[in-house]
Amino acid sequence: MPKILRILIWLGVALLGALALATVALHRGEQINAMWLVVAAVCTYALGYRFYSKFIAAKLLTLDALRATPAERLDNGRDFVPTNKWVVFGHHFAAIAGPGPLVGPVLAAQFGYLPGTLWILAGAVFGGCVQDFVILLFSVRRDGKSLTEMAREEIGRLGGLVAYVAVISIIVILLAVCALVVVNALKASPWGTFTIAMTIPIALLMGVYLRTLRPGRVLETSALGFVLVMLAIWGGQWVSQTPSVAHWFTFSAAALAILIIIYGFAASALPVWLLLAPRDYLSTFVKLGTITLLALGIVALRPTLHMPPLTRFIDGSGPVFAGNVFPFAFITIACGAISGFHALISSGTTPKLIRRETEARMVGYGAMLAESMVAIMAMIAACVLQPGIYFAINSPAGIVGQAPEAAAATISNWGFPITAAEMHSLAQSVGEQTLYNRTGGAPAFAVGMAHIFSNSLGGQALMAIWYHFAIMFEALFILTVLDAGTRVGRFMVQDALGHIWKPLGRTSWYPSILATSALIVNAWGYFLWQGVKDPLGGINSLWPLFGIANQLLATVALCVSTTIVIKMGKARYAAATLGPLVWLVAVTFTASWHKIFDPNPRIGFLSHAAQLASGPALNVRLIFNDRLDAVVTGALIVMVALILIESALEWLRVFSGRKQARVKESPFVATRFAEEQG
Amino acid sequence: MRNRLIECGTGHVGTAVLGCSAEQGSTAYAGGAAKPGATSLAKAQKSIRLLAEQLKSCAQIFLAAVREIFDESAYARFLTQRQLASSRAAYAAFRQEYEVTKARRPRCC
Repeated sequence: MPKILRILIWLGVALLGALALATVALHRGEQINAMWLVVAAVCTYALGYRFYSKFIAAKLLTLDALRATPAERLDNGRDFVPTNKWVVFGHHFAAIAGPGPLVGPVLAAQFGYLPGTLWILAGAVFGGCVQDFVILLFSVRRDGKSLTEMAREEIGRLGGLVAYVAVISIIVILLAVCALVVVNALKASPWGTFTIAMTIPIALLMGVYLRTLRPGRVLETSALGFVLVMLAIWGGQWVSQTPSVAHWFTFSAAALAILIIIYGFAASALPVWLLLAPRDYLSTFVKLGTITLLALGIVALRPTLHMPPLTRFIDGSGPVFAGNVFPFAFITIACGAISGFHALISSGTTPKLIRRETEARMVGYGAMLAESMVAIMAMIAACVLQPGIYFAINSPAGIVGQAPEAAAATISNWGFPITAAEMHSLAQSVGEQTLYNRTGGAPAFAVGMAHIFSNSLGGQALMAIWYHFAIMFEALFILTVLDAGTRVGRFMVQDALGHIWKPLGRTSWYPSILATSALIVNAWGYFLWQGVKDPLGGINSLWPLFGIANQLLATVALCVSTTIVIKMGKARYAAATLGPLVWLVAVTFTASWHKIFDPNPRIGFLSHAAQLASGPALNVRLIFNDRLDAVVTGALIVMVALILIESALEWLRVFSGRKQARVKESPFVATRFAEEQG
Repeated sequence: MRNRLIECGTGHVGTAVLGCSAEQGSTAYAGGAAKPGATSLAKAQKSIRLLAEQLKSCAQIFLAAVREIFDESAYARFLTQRQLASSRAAYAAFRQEYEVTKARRPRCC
């Protein structure tokens, strides 16, 4: 293609992106079409990939197509396997795409669609994609080492320890938040509970089928499992309409929390092939299909966004969670913009599959762009709802009141008109008794998704089916994270305890398996119980805590990246990782300060505890929970400070010449394909 | 040519070799079909075949990605390495070997 034509095409993309962004950002007082968000996102991602990722690949990382990767050098046909770049891309995307990019944007939509959308776009292009890309490449150049190993080698022992503690913390808080989202989605919902309960025997059946009837036929088994899940959704409708059966599947939040805790323990202790692996396959099957379907639905329907670009809640008085747009929008949306958890994947399986260094750009940077697009779709799904409906679903009873009329009046007074009759009609159309106070983001996302699907395919008659399909999809997704996360946490605890007493580290010794499973399940189960008992819905305290923990891990990853960049002698390009690092430090420190010390009891843990202590009914448990949350947040921020100080000292040592700038990469080995070249 | 060598040079079962055959096929076709004085109909046919081959290549890569995600390729590699046929015993051995790897793999939020 002639150069001038290429320039003109990219100029066109830039102009179109600028027009779409201007439309998204500058329209006030009138509704816009969701396609403007899609066009703005696609153009921003295209420009970011074409120019920024290329700059990073060429100048900062100097990707070398002639250097053999660990997949080639250490090829063992098992962990290290040179793999087609598109296959690695799919594998990496399937691993990084979780419920976070779906739930975070839905919660952040309380500020309006603008702050979240801008953060998703800028955060991904300049932060999340860069983090995933550089960590992937650095791991490739270190034989596929993990983030904690790289932190220990490049920053120091403290860096490694902080990374380890951060990973454990984030896993525990993440699992509690995920479980809480499922509890809030399923409470008093016999249809949803039946469908999700059925996925357990379906997964067990898949495990047995896979192992005994059709060994190794995973795709076939997953397709079979999918058909059975669809039948379970259909059967759920009958269950919900048959009072004698519905009674067995109608649970309070507390009862559901106990059931999920028992399930988490069982999933961690059972053999992988029986429950975890088949559920993982089923979840991935549904996940990839549903995300594709949602993208097609949005393009086919081209819905209008009813949520305004900015709401009055940017001042921190939001009902979904309290806190100003800065910093809380930026910790609420983590996975769609930047997520520390991705650094674990980028330094886990993926670097062992990369066939050529140059492919790290497409896999690391590109897959995160795809994940960010999922977050944009979630934002659209939340914002196509009438704002009154959105706030009625997402606001806890402690804010809007228990009675439907009172809740509708409160929300209408905020400027988002809604009536109790409208909410009742909506609940009936999706086959639920009520949609009030369904906090956590999942039900609002499910209603938005059902709206898009039913308007594109099947009409209003299928609204209830689509809603429960969406609930099943999210809950299945989340429960997979729950059982995989509990098991990963169990292994990490066993690794650590093995240093104290060797048998505890043995992953096949059942007393150790049971004890460490109980330890991890109790840890996240405690936070889950706390969230269930919180009159503000739990999400108000736990989601920011999760966001802080996740961004803390991203801070560790960016500290490691910046340190390596400086040691590579590329300090002049260090702004690529230092920029997002500085931003994340500002966000996490500010958010943590507010969560601990803010005088508003809806934001600050300590002021809330003080308010409870001085109130008429002394609730010792809630006061303890608030203080515990404050301590956890404080501990997380102290860890950020420690790793920052240790990294900065390392940078100073290199700049002052007291330490030689040398990275601990594996030695260069030419790829055998280069030899074939002669 | 150099790129093609690197893309197709690995000889692994499952993922690595897929996506190459169609590319090579299309290149060979393109070379052979570049005859002088070809009619517009022949050109159209050539374009359609090229498109079909590209679509086939995309489908192959998609299938390879799905098989890798679902561990079917890993099982195929396991069978090849040990020169085994697929059976209950072979799959049980595969699962046992991969159990710890699979269970330690984090799932992102």
